[in-house]
Amino acid sequence: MLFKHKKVVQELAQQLGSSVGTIEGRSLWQDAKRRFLRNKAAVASLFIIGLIVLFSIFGSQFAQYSYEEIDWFALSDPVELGRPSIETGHYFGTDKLGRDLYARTVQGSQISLMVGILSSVVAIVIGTLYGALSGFIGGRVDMVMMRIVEILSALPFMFMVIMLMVMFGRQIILIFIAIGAVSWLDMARIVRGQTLSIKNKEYIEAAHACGVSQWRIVVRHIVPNVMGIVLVYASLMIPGMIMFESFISFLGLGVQEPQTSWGALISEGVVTMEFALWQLAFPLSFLVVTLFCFNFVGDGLRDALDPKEH
Amino acid sequence: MLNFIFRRFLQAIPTLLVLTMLTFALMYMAPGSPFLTEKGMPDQVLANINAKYHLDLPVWEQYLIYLGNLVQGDLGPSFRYLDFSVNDLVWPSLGVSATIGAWALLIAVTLGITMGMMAALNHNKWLDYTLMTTAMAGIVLPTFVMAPLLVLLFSYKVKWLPAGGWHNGDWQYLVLPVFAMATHLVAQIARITRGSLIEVLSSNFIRTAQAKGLPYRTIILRHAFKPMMLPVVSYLGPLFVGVLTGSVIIDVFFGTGGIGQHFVNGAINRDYSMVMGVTVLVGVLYIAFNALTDILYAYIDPKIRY
Amino acid sequence: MSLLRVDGLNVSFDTPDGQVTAVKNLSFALKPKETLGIVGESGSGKSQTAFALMGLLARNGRSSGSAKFNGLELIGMPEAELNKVRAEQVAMIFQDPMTSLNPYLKISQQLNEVLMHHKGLDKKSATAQSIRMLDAVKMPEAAKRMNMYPHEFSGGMRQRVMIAMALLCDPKLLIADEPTTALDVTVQAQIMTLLHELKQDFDTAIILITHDLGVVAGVCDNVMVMYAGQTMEYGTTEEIFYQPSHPYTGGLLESVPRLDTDSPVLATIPGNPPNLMQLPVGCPFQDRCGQALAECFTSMPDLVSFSNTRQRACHAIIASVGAQ
Repeated sequence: MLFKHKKVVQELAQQLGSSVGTIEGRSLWQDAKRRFLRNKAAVASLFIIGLIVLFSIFGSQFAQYSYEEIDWFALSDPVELGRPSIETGHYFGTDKLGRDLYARTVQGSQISLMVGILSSVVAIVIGTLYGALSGFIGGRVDMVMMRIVEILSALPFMFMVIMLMVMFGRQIILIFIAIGAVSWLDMARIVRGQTLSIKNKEYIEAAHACGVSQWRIVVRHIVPNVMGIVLVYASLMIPGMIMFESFISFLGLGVQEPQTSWGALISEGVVTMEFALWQLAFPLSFLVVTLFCFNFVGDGLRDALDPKEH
Repeated sequence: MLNFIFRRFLQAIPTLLVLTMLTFALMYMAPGSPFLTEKGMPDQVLANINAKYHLDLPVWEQYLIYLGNLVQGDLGPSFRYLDFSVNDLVWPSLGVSATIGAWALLIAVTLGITMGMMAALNHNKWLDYTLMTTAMAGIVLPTFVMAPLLVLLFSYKVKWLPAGGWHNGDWQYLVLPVFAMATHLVAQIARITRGSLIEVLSSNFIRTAQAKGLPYRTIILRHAFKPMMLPVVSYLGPLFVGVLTGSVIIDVFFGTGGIGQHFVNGAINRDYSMVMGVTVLVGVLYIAFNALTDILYAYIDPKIRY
Repeated sequence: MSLLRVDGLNVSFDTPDGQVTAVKNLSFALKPKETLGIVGESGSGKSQTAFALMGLLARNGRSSGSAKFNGLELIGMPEAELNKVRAEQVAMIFQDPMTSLNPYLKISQQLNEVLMHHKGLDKKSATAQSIRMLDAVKMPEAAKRMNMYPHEFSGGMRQRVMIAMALLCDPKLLIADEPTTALDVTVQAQIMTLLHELKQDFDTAIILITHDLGVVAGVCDNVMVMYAGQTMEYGTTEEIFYQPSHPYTGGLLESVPRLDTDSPVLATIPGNPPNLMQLPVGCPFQDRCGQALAECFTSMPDLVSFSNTRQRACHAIIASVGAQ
């Protein structure tokens, strides 16, 4: 009865809004952004990742050799002449076949980052759609969809991917698909859980009661709240993907020569570790730094979006 | 509780079936598979397969025969080593992998939880930062870098430990492989434990325990420990996968002769039967391990049991 | 004479945005067996007062001032000694019994451990004692329930468990932080009746923290009204309810909806509680007070006694405050 009187409601609203000395409300994203920016490690990591991405895109401009060209002169004494030096133009030295390590590292960065990010995108898109759908529809459909996820997750991921690769060849596209196709499961489960808990929250009920359409509810309430957790897991998934690509490259099942990735470079570098340390050091540093940074960013995102202060 | 255990194992059966169907389907569809083509396959192998799976029968019957063989523990004939079945080749390596894996798991769990708890209890102090940075290092350094680094240090530089081989499992030959495998796992568990304990300690029931005047140690060990372990137990599944993944590298690098070696060789030699056999074996172990993990989880959290 | 004497208690929190003062210069006294109600809105500092007494403040909380329990200074007491005071002398029950009980332990464990640790009892005696206490809080089938987990109880029963747990060592003071807020009204009444009876059986003094005036009316001897971390007024329950001497109390009482009048509009106190990081100079209630004077904006009124039982912190004259 009280609220039939629009004027009274407006008056009250005005009263509530015009109090002196109250704190201005902050949206979840603004709050999260503030918290994230306060995390120096995360911000620095983001910056470094940016640098590495730039390196992979523009690094080849500065290379004096291509990544497959063999420097026969350096080959004559790889340990001495293959060392990193500015004069010879081999900034990172040469690998054991006399190819410029700098150019190869740039090329490897492209592949590793691409695989890491693209397979994550595949996993995220599939996983989020599947999970959100399952969670939102609920009921029987949800039960069945989740059962499927359960069964599929019980299968040993790595072995299946390797089997796929052994049997169907080693094209890059296949690597993306294989990795992404098996990683979407975790994302689906997480997104579904988040969708379910949001769906049941009172503010959804309230929106519904105020006559907001289903579609609007999804777009304005569910999606933004799910994006947060998706972002966090995405940033933690990417390093895992890069690691996995390195792993299969190490086994000899990754990208084909003359293309290379950090994993392939590292597995080559490991062999000559004792006398040509640079062959291991450079690609390994790139890999380790990238992984570290993604982890910090992921942790930073998680702290920023989780209201519980630790 | 028993009820739950029974139901959980029952749930594992459809998963096992799907696993076998998938591996069979992959084997069936793979290019160069004897199931689809007669080209490129040595006659002897073809003969072996024919005898085993009766290639003239419809697909689903072939699958049933395959399943039947599996249930009896027969993983099929090797495509590469023509006189041997996969079983013959894999069986002895199982012991190696199991030993290394078990030790790595044990160390990962005990060391990881201890580190995580120490870090959490010294939240934001230097011990916390030191431990967690070490943990980070353990996570980002891949096993295939860790292994050679360790060998370089301990086998070549200081000559304390052998660089590879199995030697019937003498302890010196176990140290480096186990350590190389465990590093990554310890780090993950430490991080999870730390995060979990920090969160648990901010719970209301911990505040109640404090209000009851209980000593610190009691609160940590009796009240906080169980809820703290929940995410760790959930992680046991992926941990097992970590052991499997790690074992492939360890075998290849240290030449210990475990399952991983056979898997990789099979992959390189296109010995599909071997690759599949190992996959199925590993898959079964994984599913069983997951079931055990779920049961352990239900033991800790009474709300899950119903 | 006093069981508890709080003098100039301050509680503040270090946050990245600045220091938040939750409790400012709080003073009150509590006699043995007395029941004191601490009333105020959310954010008035009433819970933090209790936490400060029990040493349960969050990591970034700082308390200063004095709180003497039977002569023992609680503020700043080292944890080891504090653990002897907790449960044995001063016990506390909390707002949400579901999260305040450990969901992973049976309640037998949670009850017994108090007796086993503080009184040195063995498991058998502890169990027997715990069951007796569960009977005292009117828990049906107490012996059977001992082996159950918290999630198998209803809200009201969980709160009974918490009360039983708190009274196991016969403490002299029980602090109840909004014990009925999380429960529905009928259960609320049961719990309050229970507390009332237990008070008589156990001779415990009770500090009852709540924002619900109705809860206070039935059980409390005295009432302290808090706002923005400071005391606004103090008196016996009757006096506070029938002759409030502070505009805030008056406002609170008027806001309670009545069934016997036919008012078309609900009375409220206009405005919002102040930002605790930027407390205004003078009385914190200044911009919401109908009787605000010029000096209210410049100086904080002292807490002054104006009868043997009452105190108020207000510049306005008493007569101008709405009485009932």
